[in-house]
Amino acid sequence: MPQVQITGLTKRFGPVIALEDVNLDIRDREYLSIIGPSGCGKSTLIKCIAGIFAPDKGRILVDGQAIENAPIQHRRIGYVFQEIALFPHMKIFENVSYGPRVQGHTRQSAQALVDELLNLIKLSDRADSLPLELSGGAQQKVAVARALASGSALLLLDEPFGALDSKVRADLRYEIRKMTNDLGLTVLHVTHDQEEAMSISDRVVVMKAGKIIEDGTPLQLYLRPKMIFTANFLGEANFLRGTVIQQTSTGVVVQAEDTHLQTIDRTREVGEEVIIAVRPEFVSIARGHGDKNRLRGKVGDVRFMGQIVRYEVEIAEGRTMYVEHPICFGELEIEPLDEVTLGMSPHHTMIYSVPKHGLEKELQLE
Amino acid sequence: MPSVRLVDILKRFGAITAINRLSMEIVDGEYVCLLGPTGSGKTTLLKLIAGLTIPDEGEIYIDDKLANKIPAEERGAVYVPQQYALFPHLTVLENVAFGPLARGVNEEEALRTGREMLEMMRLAHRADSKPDELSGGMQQRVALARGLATEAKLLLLDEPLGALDARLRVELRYKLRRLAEQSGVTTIHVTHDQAEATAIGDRIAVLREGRIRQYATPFHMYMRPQSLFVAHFVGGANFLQAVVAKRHLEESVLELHQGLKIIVGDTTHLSAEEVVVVIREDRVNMAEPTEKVDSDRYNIIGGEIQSARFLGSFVSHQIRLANGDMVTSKMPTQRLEKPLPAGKKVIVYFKPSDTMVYSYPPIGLSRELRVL
Repeated sequence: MPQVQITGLTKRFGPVIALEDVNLDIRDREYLSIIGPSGCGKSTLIKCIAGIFAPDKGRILVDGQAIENAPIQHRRIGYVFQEIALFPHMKIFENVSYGPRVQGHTRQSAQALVDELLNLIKLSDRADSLPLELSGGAQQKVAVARALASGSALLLLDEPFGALDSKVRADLRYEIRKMTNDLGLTVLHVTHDQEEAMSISDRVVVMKAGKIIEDGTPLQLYLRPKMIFTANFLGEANFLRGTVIQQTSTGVVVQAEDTHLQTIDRTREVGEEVIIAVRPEFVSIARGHGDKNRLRGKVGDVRFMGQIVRYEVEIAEGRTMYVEHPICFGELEIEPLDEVTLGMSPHHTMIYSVPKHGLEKELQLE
Repeated sequence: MPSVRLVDILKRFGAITAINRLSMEIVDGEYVCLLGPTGSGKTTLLKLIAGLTIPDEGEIYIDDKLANKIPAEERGAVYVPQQYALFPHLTVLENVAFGPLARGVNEEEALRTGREMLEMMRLAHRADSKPDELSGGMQQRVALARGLATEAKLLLLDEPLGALDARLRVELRYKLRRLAEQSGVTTIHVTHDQAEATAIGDRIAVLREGRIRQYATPFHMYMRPQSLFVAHFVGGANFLQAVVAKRHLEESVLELHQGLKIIVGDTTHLSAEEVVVVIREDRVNMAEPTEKVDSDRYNIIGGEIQSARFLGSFVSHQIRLANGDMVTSKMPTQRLEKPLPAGKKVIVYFKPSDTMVYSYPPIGLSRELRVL
């Protein structure tokens, strides 16, 4: 029943602080993803748990046992990383049974376990193949099976799908998620792919510059992110500067771009400078002029993208909003140069304080 | 601005046919994405156009001039490979300004162009760094900036956003598209990412095993895929095996597993023919069993939710239908914020006109759809 408690974890590489006082609890059987831009420390964190890096400070407890100084082979943690690292000269069966064999199992006694794992990843019929005879996706499934064969119930996935084509990758993530669920594993998964993290995780942790800045369920982080960085990182967002002009019983009214926008945030004071954020799919678009709670603009580029149509709308000189309209809501007859009005439901309008160092710096992805 | 025309190109590497009798035309100023799984031949095709490899048979025309024998450097094209090779001893800015300088542009102007390109790639703050001080994603953008700065009229980009984190990749794809549009260059962009191709290509060529499976606008590719493979690879969909039970004048009745009948708009398949019905995931609606749905307009089937996935702007549910078939229904998050729990009974419904019907593939459905 693995449960992980990380406290005060710090790791420096020369002058660079890769991890700064990181605290994180992972619950038993939880599927937890860590996302963040390149260089945020997510890979360093998972490598500290795996035992590849030794932290400078802090503790890592697995089921109450401190492991931060334990050698890798004593940690009983399954670790899978981006580069596929199967033994190329060994058959799939030999690859998966490698761990149990090293632990002293005979080929016969490892057989049942390996069979079960290969069955689980639907590769029983490939037990006698060599790794290179399998596709990249299948090889990575074998890597997961091998990581689990040593009997670990804690699985660390470090960008495991990073080297795969996007289509293969999307299928594989659900397969691995189902497998870890069926086996009752605790999983920590590092990825740069927000959709991947949201679609399979119980909880997502956002890191930036060596720190955890926010965590929550995928829905919480996507719909109600506390940090403006998260709002931008977990999906696209439009940002508008404005000033709070009124408090109502349901929230505050913000004046932005010559119009009044309703929000459901009640914590802001009148006169406060704020930034409104709204995701492109939560902005409605219609031809012509609308009521006062709407923005006006002129359509630029229109892109058909399959399930959605994406509109670029100039709302003022040099300022653009992006709108994504799901086609299943019906097709709109809106074309470039059309005058349109944009609406934002208060429920999906996020509100933030103006970042100290400016918006662009705050949102920087690296 | 150049057009590119490929006529009956054949390229073999030993026993492997990388490009198999392929013809296509790219018009002047167009942005074309070559989309396909690993090993489909898209990089080879790009290198053939660049002049880095020579076809065994067939002709390559650039601007209506036969280019087969024109050396790479005289084709007026810039090729940005996936494995970018920056000059390690030059700064980022010097790397980017290299092309204009080599072309004889004066230094001041070359550096200005270089800075503009770096600005666009969000790398202005790293102009004075050496390449090895940058992350892989940054180096890739420097390579891209260097390619763009040459002001070549034909851009050949091999997975130009491949090394980038997902979020940055989305942001830069729109910038890349805008830049190409503004400068009027002809661009051929290789990618394995169908969302990227759909977001930026004027047209997409889907490659598989060295052949073009379809060459069309994103709209046509999505609305009228010519094959099951294309329907699967571009946009994704539900695929249900069926037999044509009865063909009417304007619609047909199909029988799915266990005798479940549905109505489809297709009338091109004959009675008793084995077919596959394709329904895009966002065209499969889902509702509470008690909800009133007009059965004259929709096929309505009972089912049970097996799993749900939150994808950000969409929520998808995997549903086991009454006849045992599995379908995925994708709904905008706006409509349904919280995924429904596994085990819940629902109805799914879809319009006959939202289905597409194909003959059952001779090689079998799973082999037809296989990506690798």
